[in-house]
Amino acid sequence: MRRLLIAIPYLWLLALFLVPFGIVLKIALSDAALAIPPYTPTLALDEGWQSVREFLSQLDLENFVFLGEDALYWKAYWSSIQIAFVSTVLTLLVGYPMAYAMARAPRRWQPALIMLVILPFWTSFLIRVYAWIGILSNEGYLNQALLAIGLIDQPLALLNTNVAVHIGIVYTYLPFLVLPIYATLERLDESLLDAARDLGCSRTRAFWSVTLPLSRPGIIAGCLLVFIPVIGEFVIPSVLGGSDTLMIGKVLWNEFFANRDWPVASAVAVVLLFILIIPIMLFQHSAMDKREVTA
Amino acid sequence: MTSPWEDSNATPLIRIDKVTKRFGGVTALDGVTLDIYPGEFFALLGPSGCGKTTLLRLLGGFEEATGGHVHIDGRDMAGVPPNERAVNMMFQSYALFPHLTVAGNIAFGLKRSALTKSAIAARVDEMLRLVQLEDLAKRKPHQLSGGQRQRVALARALAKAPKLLLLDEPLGALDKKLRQQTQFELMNIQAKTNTTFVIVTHDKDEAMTMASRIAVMDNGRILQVDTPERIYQSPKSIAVASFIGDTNILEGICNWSDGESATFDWTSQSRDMTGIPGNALAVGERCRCVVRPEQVVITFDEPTDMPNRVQGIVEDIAYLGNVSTYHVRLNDGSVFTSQSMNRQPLSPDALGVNRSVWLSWPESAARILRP
Repeated sequence: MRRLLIAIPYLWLLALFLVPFGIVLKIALSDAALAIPPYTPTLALDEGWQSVREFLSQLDLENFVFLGEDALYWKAYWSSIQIAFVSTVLTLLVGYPMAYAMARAPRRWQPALIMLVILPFWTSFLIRVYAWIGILSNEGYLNQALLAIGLIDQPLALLNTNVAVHIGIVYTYLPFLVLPIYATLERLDESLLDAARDLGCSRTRAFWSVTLPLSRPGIIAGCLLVFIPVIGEFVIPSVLGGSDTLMIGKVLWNEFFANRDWPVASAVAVVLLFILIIPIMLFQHSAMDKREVTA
Repeated sequence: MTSPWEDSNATPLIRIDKVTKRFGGVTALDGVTLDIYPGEFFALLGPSGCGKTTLLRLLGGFEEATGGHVHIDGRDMAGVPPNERAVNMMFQSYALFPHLTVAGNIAFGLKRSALTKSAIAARVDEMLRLVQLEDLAKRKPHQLSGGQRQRVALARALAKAPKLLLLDEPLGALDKKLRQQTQFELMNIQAKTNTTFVIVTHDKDEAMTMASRIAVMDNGRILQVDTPERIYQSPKSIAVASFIGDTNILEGICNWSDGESATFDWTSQSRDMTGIPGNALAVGERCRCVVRPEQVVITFDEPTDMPNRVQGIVEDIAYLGNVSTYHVRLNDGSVFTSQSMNRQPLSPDALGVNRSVWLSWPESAARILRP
């Protein structure tokens, strides 16, 4: 009985992660072909052991070698990481003060403030990203407003640039960062701040030496919750970004749907997964640390 | 040696002058005036919500007085934030920084001062020795027991050698045995460091054991400030008498007083009793008299030489080992309590239930107070 209970999460992992990953890996090791499905070889299990062996002998690492040779892919990975890093930092700069203000707000307001943070999820993500076109375009609300108050005399070219991509990412991923930080700040014992002040800290000093280090688990969790999905982000760069916005999600989409090169697209996905595993393991590690401290 | 509070030339370290504190419509402190002298171990004692913690936080700089003045070491403390006061506080929850080690917690305040690194390390070692935690310097607070955390909090609060240490229910989170042991340790450390301690507690035994003087508070006011002995033996009000220990309360009307001693007519017994007036009493005024149970002597025969005596029937006996408490029902139906040490093993035919007995007490044991 106990073995069965332990087996359930492993079966889950096997069915929903390892099997699909195996399929993608298999395609990544195949060659593109004009066929349905558009790759070769295909596995025919009903033709016996001989055909399986033949199938295995046709798999190779050609596509991964190709990824290494063509600078486009490495540039796309690198640019995705850079964009993800910059926008995570920007999200933190916007989100931390928000979370701090929420945690310091009167208790009775806090549920309403959390509600406001979650509220955007009630509308489709795609529609919200499209709405930014209306704000950021040359004739958009932002340029109109800036022109009206005389801050600029030429509309700013924001749409279809990396700036727009960053704005879109910060906007979309803000709740994922605000909520974990809020959770750690809200639990912060206020007598710790009194103690810091009592021991000679000004309010600002007490923030840096007590509040900030104690909200570190929330900061790490929030940043990884932004950083990890943003690396593979496809919708925001393709809607708000320009032709020179290079992100691996966009490359993947092009390989898959425009080039119909499933094996290369799969190889791109496999490499992406290995790049993401590093921050995911960091995240797990920090979550374990946190559990240890609270236990 | 005269105690500083009896010496009119002594300068108090803390001068609290008609301090009032209101939170919205709630008055937490109502015109509190109090002097505390250097080197004192001063206890603020009272039930929860009496304003004692508010008064402590006011001294620490965490609250601003609505009215009145607080002077510490001759300086008016209005508008002075906690980080600019030569005062440290030990918090009720200890408020140890969970991300720092024991040594890091103790060093926290020192790092905000002008001390060099080696001076800080030396001071941390000294503090660790003082509270006997040398071996645990590298532990984090969550790896310590409650008693160890309490010591870290104390060491951290004393590290900057404050003139005044404020302690908010410092022993509240410890179990009873550890609490008693720690009381004496606190007294030792106070004597060793010669720091003025102001402690907040709701536990009268704790206050009586440790304090040089106690301020009994209720409803934002100070009822009485005195040494533990005087608080117990010469309470100035019924509220103080009943807060500090069990007591019998007799109601009557004062019929004679010369200031040193007084007599009153005990209404329920129609007898004249004598006692020492705790307040100025006028003849004909209603009064109450408090008598501590351990001052009441039980005898079988009428003690004719005792001025204060009354007859009753033993209703029940609570045997507590070292002492026994006797509940004696008087003829008016009220119950009187007497307590005596069990010096010899009790024999079964000694004082049994339903025996008729006499209760008596000397004049000096009776305090006559305004109702």
